[in-house]
Amino acid sequence: MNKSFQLDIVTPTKSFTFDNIVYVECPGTEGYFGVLKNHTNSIIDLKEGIISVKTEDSNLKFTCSSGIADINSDSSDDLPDKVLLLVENVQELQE
Amino acid sequence: MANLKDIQQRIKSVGSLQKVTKAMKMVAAAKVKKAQEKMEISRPYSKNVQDLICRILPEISSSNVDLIEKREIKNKGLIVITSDRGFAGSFNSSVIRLAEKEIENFGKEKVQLFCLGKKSSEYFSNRKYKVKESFYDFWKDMNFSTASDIANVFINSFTSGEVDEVNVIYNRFKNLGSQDLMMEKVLPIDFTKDYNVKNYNYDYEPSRESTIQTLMPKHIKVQMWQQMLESYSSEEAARMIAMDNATENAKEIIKELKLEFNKARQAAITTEMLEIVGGAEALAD
Repeated sequence: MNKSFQLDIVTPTKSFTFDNIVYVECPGTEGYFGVLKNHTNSIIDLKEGIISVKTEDSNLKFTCSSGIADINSDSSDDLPDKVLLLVENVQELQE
Repeated sequence: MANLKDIQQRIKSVGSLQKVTKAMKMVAAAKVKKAQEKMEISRPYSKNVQDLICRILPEISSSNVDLIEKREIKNKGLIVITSDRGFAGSFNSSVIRLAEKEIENFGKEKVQLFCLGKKSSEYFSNRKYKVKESFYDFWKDMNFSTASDIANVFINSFTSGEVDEVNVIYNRFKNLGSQDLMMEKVLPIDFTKDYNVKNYNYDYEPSRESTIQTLMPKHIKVQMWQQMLESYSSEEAARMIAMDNATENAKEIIKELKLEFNKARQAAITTEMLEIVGGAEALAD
């Protein structure tokens, strides 16, 4: 069974889309939270911090400003599982 | 008739002026393209923020949201977006004219101005209008944080009750040859038409109210960013056209000067020949 989903990080000045995401960890205002496939539909406020992204073959990290995470895994519609992070600023961290 | 050296000098100086206007035209064209790209990039963010607001807003009591609160309009805020520099045809004057008309209609004392760009700032300050804040010298290195800072200023004015409505006047880019002069309401935000009534059944953390309070300023900021980009694109497009016209005019002037130069040269040769003939005849005698 496919355990991956899509992640969009969208800012006013750039956007990233990643397929085959296995796990994302985000800085929520009430603490870090992780997202796997089939996560409950949620809208979560984000604070400044680090977004950790795990794809099927690599790990990535980003610093981000505050924003909103929109997690959509509604099986009733035909759309694939998707996590949308709306932040004002994002920067990829080089390991 | 001017002498040959003077005309030659004028042809040379108009020629260098033509080179400058041509270069300015090309620089403006490149800047329009860059601003258009930035506009394109900002659209998904803006759309997603709007979608989310439309999804959440019907589920909460609107009285809890400051930025959609409709009040009796006693004082207005007016954002006037112009440029720092001239050489752009009627770009600035059309915005200033509409702003002035709007201020006169509502009452000079009841309108607070937020001026973007030196042109509007100088114009309204010199005429003793109520300029609450001026922002300039940012167009060259314009980025989202500039728009965000500017938006924070008028959001604060609105939430503190200093103004009950905020409008913006700017030029919207239509195409390279034309701009639309726009006046839009920024605050309070009016979302009633776009409500999305589908029940999404979402979990909110910490709460719906907090999410909407986070989203509203973001919506205003990205709108401000887009309006600034629209205005910047329009400014550079107007400058491009103005510089193109100036280049054409210089071409015409050079053509006329060359004609004048040839006439003067011809006259000089004729005079010289007459002198020679006259001299030869005098010798023969």
